[in-house]
Amino acid sequence: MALLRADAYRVVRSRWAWVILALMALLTFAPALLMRWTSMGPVAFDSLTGSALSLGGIEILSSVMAAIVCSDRNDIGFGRSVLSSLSRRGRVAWFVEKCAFSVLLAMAMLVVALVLGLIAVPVSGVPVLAPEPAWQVAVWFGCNWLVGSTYAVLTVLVAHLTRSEAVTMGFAVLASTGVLEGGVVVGIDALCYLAGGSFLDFSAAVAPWLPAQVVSAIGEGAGALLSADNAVRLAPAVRALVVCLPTIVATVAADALLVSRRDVA
Amino acid sequence: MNVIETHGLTKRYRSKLAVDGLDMTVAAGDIYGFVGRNGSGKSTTMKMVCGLARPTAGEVVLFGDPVGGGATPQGFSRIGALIESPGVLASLTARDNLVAKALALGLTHAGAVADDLLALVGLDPCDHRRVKAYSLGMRQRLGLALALVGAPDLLMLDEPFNGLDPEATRAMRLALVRLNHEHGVTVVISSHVLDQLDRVATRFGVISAGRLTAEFTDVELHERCGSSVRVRLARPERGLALLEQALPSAAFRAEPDGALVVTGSSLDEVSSACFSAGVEVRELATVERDIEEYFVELMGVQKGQAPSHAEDGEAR
Repeated sequence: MALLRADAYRVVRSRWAWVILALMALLTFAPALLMRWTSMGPVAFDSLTGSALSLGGIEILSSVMAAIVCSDRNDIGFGRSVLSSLSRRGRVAWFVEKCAFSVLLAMAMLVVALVLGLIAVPVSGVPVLAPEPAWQVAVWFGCNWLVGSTYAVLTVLVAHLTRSEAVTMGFAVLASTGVLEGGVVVGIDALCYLAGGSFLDFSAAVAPWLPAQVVSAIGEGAGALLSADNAVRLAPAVRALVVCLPTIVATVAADALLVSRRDVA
Repeated sequence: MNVIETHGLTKRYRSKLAVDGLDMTVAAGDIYGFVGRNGSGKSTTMKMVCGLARPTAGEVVLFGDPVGGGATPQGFSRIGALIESPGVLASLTARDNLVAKALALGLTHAGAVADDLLALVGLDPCDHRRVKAYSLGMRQRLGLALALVGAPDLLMLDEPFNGLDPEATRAMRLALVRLNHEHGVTVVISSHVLDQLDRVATRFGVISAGRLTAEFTDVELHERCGSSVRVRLARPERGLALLEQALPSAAFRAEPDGALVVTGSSLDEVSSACFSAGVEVRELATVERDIEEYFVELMGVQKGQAPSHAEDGEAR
């Protein structure tokens, strides 16, 4: 708890956290105000989660925030000072806390984005035809959090492994935009092809399970997130649970048990 | 009680042996000056003692507790460290840096702790500038304040005088002495600024090529660096043999011009010995030895080439 309080303090006291908050407000309200003043955009929203509330970009922001919190210049140097005063168990806790903090940060940002979105919907003046029940909004919110947290903890792991701000930031952006996943899958496809297999067999089998696919379902709203895919017969929300939860647990375990054993200076 | 003991401490980075079987002892209440050339293994040793780097071999004992193995020593929680560059959060103010560390260590009244430490190191608690606007010297002072959060019993400082102007250096030196005298904090300082180290340190350790070549107290240092006698003889080889016989407790060093430098004997004793032995003296003078020169000599010593006084120090 002490470590979480310390990280929360430094995030609140730093200028960039408020810059990101302002950016989120701008990205939410600018389209809403454009809709109100210029009659641009849809005549009506089909659903609440498919409206101005849609937070497709939040995964990027949460992993970038995690990158900033845990990147070399901002944290590892200061971390040396803290780590040199912690017991062995305290040191493992320090690594676990970084992951936990990035997950909580992702949630805090989602809550802020949700509140901003709920205000932006009436501001836009565009009616919502069929708002979803609260549980569907909650599932949609949970999936958003799960995927955002996955990218965030992976970013923390990369930050601790590489101790390079540039690499961490690059990873955060490439992973959360789906470019990294797509690149890896296409690369494996190419290898399969060179080995004599079919070109897109691998990506066809793997693609539905990628977090990036869940992100695109989140953008379409809770309905898309909860409806089962014909090919996989599982809703994207379930796939998110199957893929993201073990990924988060494995990443935190790797960070706490393996990375914490490396030299930090 | 020894605060730090290392036994055969070794650190290898791929093919480079940074620390090679180092045996070091720091007693409670010492201000321990850790001296060595660049790349001699000082920082690596300090990192291993602080637990920031894992030894390849050997053992670190902190406050009587061996680090590693099955035990979970709490020794690290009694250490404050400033290793290499000060690890500060550049986008926050100095006070925020200290509050963040105090919160991380679970201290209550983090704000009051921060204000006290800022005052101790001579920084303004009301300075709202972010640390990125600070000079190197101000960052060093903040680094020291960060190391002091949690009232550690052992302070490990790597080059704390770097970037400090004379006034700040003096303030830092006085702060360290005050912490040592009033709060009983044991301090380990690695530094190239030997005259500053000489003013504060009560014990010294000299490291060369990853090995501790000598350990001695400040009193022993001044005995060794005190007055020595330079004597130039008409027949140096014969004279040296006769003087060694007449002054068995003295140490002799030959100068390039053929003169002998005698330590451990006074001018009168050397003069009498020369007179008694019937040795013709062409020059006889007292010379003061430079501490820096002494350390440079020790730091240059490679494995198996330790001078007689360095061996004495090791034995202590």
